[in-house]
Amino acid sequence: MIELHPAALDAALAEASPRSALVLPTTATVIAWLQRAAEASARPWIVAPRLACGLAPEVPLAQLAEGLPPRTVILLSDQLLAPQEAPLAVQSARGLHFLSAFEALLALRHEYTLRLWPEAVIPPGQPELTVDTVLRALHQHLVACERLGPEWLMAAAQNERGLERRLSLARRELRFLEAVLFRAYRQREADSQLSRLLDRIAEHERALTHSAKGLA
Amino acid sequence: MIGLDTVLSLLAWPLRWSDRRWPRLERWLDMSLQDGDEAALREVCRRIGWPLGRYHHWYLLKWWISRRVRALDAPRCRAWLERLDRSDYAALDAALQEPSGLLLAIPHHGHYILSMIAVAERLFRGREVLVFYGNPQTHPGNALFDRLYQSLFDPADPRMQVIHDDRAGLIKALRGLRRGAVVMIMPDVHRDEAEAHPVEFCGRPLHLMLGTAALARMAGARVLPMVACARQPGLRFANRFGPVLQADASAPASLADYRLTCRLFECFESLMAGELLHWQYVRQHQRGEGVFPSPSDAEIEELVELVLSGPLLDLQLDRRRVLEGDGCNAKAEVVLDT
Repeated sequence: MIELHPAALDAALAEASPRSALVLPTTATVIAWLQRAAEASARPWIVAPRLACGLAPEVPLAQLAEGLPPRTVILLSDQLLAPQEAPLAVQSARGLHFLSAFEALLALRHEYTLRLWPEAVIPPGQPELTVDTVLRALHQHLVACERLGPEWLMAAAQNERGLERRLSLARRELRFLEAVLFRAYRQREADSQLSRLLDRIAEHERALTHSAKGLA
Repeated sequence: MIGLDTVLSLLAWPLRWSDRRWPRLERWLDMSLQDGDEAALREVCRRIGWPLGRYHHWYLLKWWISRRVRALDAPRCRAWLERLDRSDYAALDAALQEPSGLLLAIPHHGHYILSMIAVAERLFRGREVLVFYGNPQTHPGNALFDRLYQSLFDPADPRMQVIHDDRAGLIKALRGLRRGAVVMIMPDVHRDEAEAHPVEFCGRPLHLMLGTAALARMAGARVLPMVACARQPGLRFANRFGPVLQADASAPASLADYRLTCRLFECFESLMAGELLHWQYVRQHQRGEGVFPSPSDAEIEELVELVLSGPLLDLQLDRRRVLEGDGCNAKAEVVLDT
């Protein structure tokens, strides 16, 4: 069980091995503690893309891929919300939403132990450990964050995981792609390449709408 | 004789030379400057050579207009508008020589509400006028227009009607244009960004609905750009007009709509030149993203495929995982790449 006060967080960090990740919610207490944690002797990687002191998940993954020694990861998973950060579609009783793959990569590829607030622990190397195990724990972590009420600073932003928001972003991107094409053809006659690419975009939008039907 | 409007404008005139923020005034005028707005406004000020205080002076005049409109009855309001209007309407009169429908496209710039009412007042006895704008229930800023409309026009008069930006409004606009009506429309705002296309405006992308161009194409109507410009001191204004625009009938519909929208906003940019601070969306626009990629012919296909297969557009919904209920989806498979 990880308590969300500075002394308990200090203890959790001191106990953590270089191949372990502490998954914490974004609260004022945690943010204040992160300033101190960043200077700890273990020099943890703080993955929190929406904080000035935080890294994007690609940074530790790239360093691990290069073979640099592992470091403890302090991870605010509730900030991994953007499509490139949270690409995995999951269906739960709360509807369809998107979760990050970073935690699963740490556990399965880099053999990290995951400690998710409040009390889940996922040790590495067990034969039954799958991506689904990690995603279920992550989902339960986010459900627990909701119980923090107004203390949870990322509560309102969680709708970015929802299907409605993702579909809206996808449509915006499709309009952007169309505009790039239209701009390329502003001074030129339309040709078969333009029709083919516009059809391709329209077909993608139809398929997206069709596959999303009934899932939200 | 110097009017009340001019006196107020002159009393506040020193603001126009100030280059600092005025927090109390901002709160009083409900300017709601967000993070990044000051930098955005200062960048625009730098480009057009105005101090920041001209933005505050402008907001003060807007506040004064809403007070004045509430205080005037219909005859005095008509006389007031007539006094303020310094427009040269030759371009509009020329466009009206043709009987086909005309979309008068007006951005939220200058004293646009006063301008639109002045133009409607000028036109509606000789030509059916439809004013197309966001419903004040969802766009509270439009309540002032509603107030003026109800005060100056008879809502039962079919020669001058307001229509809202919904399906019924679109159908009315289309039918009106086919009958030869003038439809006043404000194309610089969108209801849903997911349906809006980015168009280059003042050096950066502006997300716009292509509806004005689509209406013109479907109704065989023309588009006349009009920008309301302030003439200070006081609340005087002059409407500036661009050239009449028409849809390119030889291009595919969506490309023709985009081209017409680009031309329309090029006209707006040139008509607003030097007064961009008086555009209602200047802050958001200047704060927004600034890059518009221009891939070469060879890169276009690759770009489309790359974007379609990226995480924004490939939602992998057919590979979703079930976390509760029946347990995990055994068939689901995810390739985890760094």
